Amino acid sequence: MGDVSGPPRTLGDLALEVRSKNAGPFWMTLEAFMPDEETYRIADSLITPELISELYHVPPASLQIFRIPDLHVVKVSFPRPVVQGSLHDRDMHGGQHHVPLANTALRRLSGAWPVASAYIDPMATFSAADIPDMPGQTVIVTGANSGIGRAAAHALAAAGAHVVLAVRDPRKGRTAAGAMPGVTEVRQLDLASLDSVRAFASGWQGEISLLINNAGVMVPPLTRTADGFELQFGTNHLGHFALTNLLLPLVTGRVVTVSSTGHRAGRIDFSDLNWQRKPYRAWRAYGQSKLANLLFTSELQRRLTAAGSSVLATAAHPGYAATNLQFHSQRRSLDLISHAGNRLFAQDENAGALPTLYAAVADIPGNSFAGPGGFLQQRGAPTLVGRSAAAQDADVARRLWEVSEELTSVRFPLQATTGP
Amino acid sequence: MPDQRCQPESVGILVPSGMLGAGFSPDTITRGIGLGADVIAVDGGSTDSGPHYLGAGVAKTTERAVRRDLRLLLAAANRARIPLVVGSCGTSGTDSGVDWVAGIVDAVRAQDGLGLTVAKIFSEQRADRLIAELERGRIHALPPSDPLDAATLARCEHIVAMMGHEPIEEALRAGADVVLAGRATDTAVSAAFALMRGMPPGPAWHAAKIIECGGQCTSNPVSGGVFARIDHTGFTVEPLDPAAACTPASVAAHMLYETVNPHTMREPGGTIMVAGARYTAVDQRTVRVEGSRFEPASQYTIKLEGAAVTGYETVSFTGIRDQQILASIDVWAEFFTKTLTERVETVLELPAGSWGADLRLYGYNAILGELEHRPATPQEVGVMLLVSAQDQRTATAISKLANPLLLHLPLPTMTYLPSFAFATSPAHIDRGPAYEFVLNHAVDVGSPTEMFRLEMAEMTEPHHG
Repeated sequence: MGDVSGPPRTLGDLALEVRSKNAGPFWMTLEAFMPDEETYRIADSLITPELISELYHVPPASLQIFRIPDLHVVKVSFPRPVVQGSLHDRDMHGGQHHVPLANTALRRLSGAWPVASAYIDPMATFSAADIPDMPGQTVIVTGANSGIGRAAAHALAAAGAHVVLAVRDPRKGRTAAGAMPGVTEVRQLDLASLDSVRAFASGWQGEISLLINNAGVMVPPLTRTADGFELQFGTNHLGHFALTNLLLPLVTGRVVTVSSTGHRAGRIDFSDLNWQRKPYRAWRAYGQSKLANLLFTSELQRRLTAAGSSVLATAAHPGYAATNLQFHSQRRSLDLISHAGNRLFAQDENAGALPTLYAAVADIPGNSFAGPGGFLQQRGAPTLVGRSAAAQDADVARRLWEVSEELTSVRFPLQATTGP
Repeated sequence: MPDQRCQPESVGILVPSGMLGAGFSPDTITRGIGLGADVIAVDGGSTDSGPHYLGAGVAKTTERAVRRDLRLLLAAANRARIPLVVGSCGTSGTDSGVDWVAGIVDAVRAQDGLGLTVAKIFSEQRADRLIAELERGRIHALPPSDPLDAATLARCEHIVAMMGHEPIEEALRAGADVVLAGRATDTAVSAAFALMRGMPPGPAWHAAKIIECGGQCTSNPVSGGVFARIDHTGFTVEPLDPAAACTPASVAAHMLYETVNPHTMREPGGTIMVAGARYTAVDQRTVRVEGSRFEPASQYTIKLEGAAVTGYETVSFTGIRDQQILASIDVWAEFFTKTLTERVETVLELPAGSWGADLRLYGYNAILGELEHRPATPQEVGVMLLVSAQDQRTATAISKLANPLLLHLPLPTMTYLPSFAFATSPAHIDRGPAYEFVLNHAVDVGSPTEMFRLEMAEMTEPHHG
């Protein structure tokens, strides 16, 4: 499988073999056979529950990851996402499902990681050390009590900013804040409740340098927010939509919204945004909410520009390396299955937070979308990345904005100076 | 209990191939017998090819291939006076599968004049008896499945129970030369004789797992057979193809193959634990394994497999080469589904949701579907439409409504009708009933043999013909 014609770009290029197979009718199993110790360490770092979850649309709690250094093998098992032999099963033996794993780009390993030096980009240009000093600046990070939100908050606090952790559970927020340097503050915010969003915003005074819309839920069973919205659309998009517009008059720097490569699977279904008529599909709904994050960013930037504001709206995605999303298994029995391999989470979070930090402080234009590495680079620092055609549709962005205003009763607060 | 009177120092097991009917070179058998095989073991089954074989109770292999393999194996077993054990007969191990293989064995025996005693072990289960077990709380779900209900059992066309080594051992002790087992764990087929001869369970079960797929544990997976010798402290394994080799890595890696967990594997009576196993090269092509353990379970459990009808299917196939369509193939696919749904609703008066369809764009994203990252515009696409309905007539009717769309459906923006490339006439094929695996549950039993029925024919005199 090794590609001898050029430098290795994917896990499959490095591996002796990446294979997949059924393990009985109800399980699928993947293995990466690496040729030596050094490449094994790379596979070991790369293959995280988050990566597999995103590649295969399975909840991390259902995964089992086995790391076998003696054989230079990383093995992953999870319940088959499509029942073997069912109408929609297109891979009866599960034998072609190794491809997404094999095609995973090595660039997802950021330069900050203690992995084999031969595969680290010496040209890495952005790390947490590149964040400028931010004394006296206030930063709000939603969902900052775990995952990449916590890592981003930590890095900004270390740069001297006054970091506000806007979290649903203040107890967890305080635990997270306790481990951070500098000045931090914890405030309660439940994005699944517009009352909570309004209460958070009305209690606010003073300038905000950075608002980081990071909190998110991923593939829960069908759930409704306090206001009756589908949980992912309501939390990931509408909650942040309302929060941003309520705080916008106080924002002086940037609004960074965390999206996902999952936006590519999304479509905005204006006829049924909240999954009231069609059967609920958790991944589709997640894709819709993450696409909405990008459309929100582009329309926000358009409106800011039209209003003559210098505030920038940018977006980021953490890549496959890390997410901080709260997963909800749809099957009780899945929750009982333990999963291994947590020991690399800390590095995952730090690496996954880099695109967010890049979108927050790097010298980039409005409506930029940051993600890990460049498309043709093997690896490296966060950079600007592409987005789906659907995410670039200005008409849909405008319409989504108007519908979101109606649904939340929160409007864009600035006056246009150069026309609509 | 091990037979203390004739407990040997070791037991040699010849596995000619990963599956009965897959074929192997006659030299494989000669070499295995030459290495002192005490038993020939071969698996006749698999769930890997999907639920059809259990649902329909038919074999995946063709009779001529099975007969060819059996002729060589029966002759070798007869000559060397060693038993032959076949597990999961007829692919799924249904009663019809056991009888099918037994019929072939009988024909070969008669033709070749072999005086072998044949035992049949049936493992098919009746739903009503299992419902009684369910009501007694003796059936529990295995991950990732949900608890079982009676309706699911009642839906099954066939249900088989996976035997451990005990029913096979019972047949061997009763004097069988040939054991044709219904559904059995892949490992029990190879482990049974060694356990009967008093070999320790750790090495016996671990060896059985390593050799169950034949050449998979060697440097050349298509090389065919393997030979394992189990003794009181471990086992050795080597390929029967002189050009292939077993290496510590190839043997250790086979514990990963088709397993959820590479360190442990549950059998009816306990768990194989291999985390502490050590693999060393004896020579260039033989590996010794020591340190495997078998931990008996407090409760003996028998796993069930069952297949139920999901509907009746018709498959249609056409090809698209036109770049204009291919550049918007997602749009075309969506338009197709919408148009077909409307046609079925108006013409057949069947609401969406009362039937199912899967439109697969081979060459674009058919295999991985939503997991496909960013498919490029393909050069050509094979369009497969799989329709499922509650009866064959309806599935066929829906497919006939789809036929003109598979031939002519334009993009919504086009002002003329394209014509696509049907591969065959007619463009559809009725598939009959389609099945799904619905059981992933285990029964707590008092005795390892209670769910299985042993049948042994009286020994017949060879008649030469």
